[in-house]
Amino acid sequence: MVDVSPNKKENEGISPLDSLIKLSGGPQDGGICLKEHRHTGKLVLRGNPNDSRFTKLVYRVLGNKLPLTPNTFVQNKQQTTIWLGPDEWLINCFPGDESTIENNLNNSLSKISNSVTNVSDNSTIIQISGSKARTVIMKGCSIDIHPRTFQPGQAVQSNLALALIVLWQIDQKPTYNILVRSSFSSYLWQWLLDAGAEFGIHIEK
Amino acid sequence: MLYIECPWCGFRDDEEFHYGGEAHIQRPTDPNELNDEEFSEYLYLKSNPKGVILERWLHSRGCRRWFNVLRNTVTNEITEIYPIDTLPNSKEGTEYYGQNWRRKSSVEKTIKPREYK
Repeated sequence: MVDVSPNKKENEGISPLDSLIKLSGGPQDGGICLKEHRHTGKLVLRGNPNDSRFTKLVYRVLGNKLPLTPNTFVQNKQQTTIWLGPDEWLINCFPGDESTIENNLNNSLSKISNSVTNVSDNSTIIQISGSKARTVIMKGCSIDIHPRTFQPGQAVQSNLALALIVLWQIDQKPTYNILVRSSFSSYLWQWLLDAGAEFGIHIEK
Repeated sequence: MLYIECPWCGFRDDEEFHYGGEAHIQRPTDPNELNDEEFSEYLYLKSNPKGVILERWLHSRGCRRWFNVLRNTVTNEITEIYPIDTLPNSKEGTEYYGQNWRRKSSVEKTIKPREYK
C-alpha cells in the first residue's frame, strides 16, 4: 500500500493510485485508455451568482464566466470550472496553482459573502478515453451519456459503480474525466480495469 | 424505482436521493412554552396519509440541495416539485397543506406562522 507519512514533503508526488499504475502500457488500439491526472489543484468556490459583483470579480480572477447552467463546465488554459450546485463551483487547476487562485479569489472577494476551500487532496481525477469509454461508464452509471444528451462541456455528479463521482466530457473521442474521492480511487480504478477488460485497456503514465 | 426530477439537475434515479420526511413541520419558537404532550406532537407525530403527501427530498449524490415533493403514496406519482422555502402551488398541494392536522396543532397555534417566499 501507499506509504502514509505525516511528512508532507516526503509525500509529495504520491497518489493512492500509484501502486496500481506501476504497470503502464497495454494495447494502443484497445477500446479504452486510462490515465490519472495527479495532484491537480482543486478549489470549491461558493457565493451568490445573483450578485453581479460576485460574478464580475470571479470573472476577473478566473478569466472566464462562472458556469451558471446546471450540469455544465467551462474550461480555459488555466483551469476548469465545474457547476456543482446553484451557489457552488469546483475549480480544477494545474498542480501548485491552487494557492495563487485561492489567494486571488480571497483578495478580490474580501468584501462579498463567499467561501473558497482548498480540496485538492480530497479527490483525484481519472481520465478515460477511447471508442469504448462510453460503454464502460454505462456499465456502472445511471446517467444517460449518449451523445444526443451528453456532450463536451457537460458535467454531472452521480454514482459510478456505487462510488460518488463528478463526470465531465472533454471531447468527442470521447474523453471523460472522473473526479473521485482519493479513498475510493483504487476501488474505482480496479472496477474500471474489470469493466474495460473485454475491450483492451491502455494505461498511460 | 422512483425517477425524481431534481429542480437543478433534472431527472435522476432515486438512488441519488435521500428521503427527508414530512415537509413544512414548524419548529416551536420557544420549546419551553410547550408541555410534554404538545412537544411530542411536534417531535414524534408524522402524517402518514393514503394519497398525496408533501415531503422533503435531498439530492445527496448530486447537487446536495433540498427540495419539496408532492407524492401520492398509493401510486408513487410525483405531481409537483417546488423549492424548499416555498409552499406548493398546485391545487391538491395547497389543499393538502391547508387541511393537514398540523395547521391546527398546538405548536402552530402558539407560534407566528412561518413566512414563505
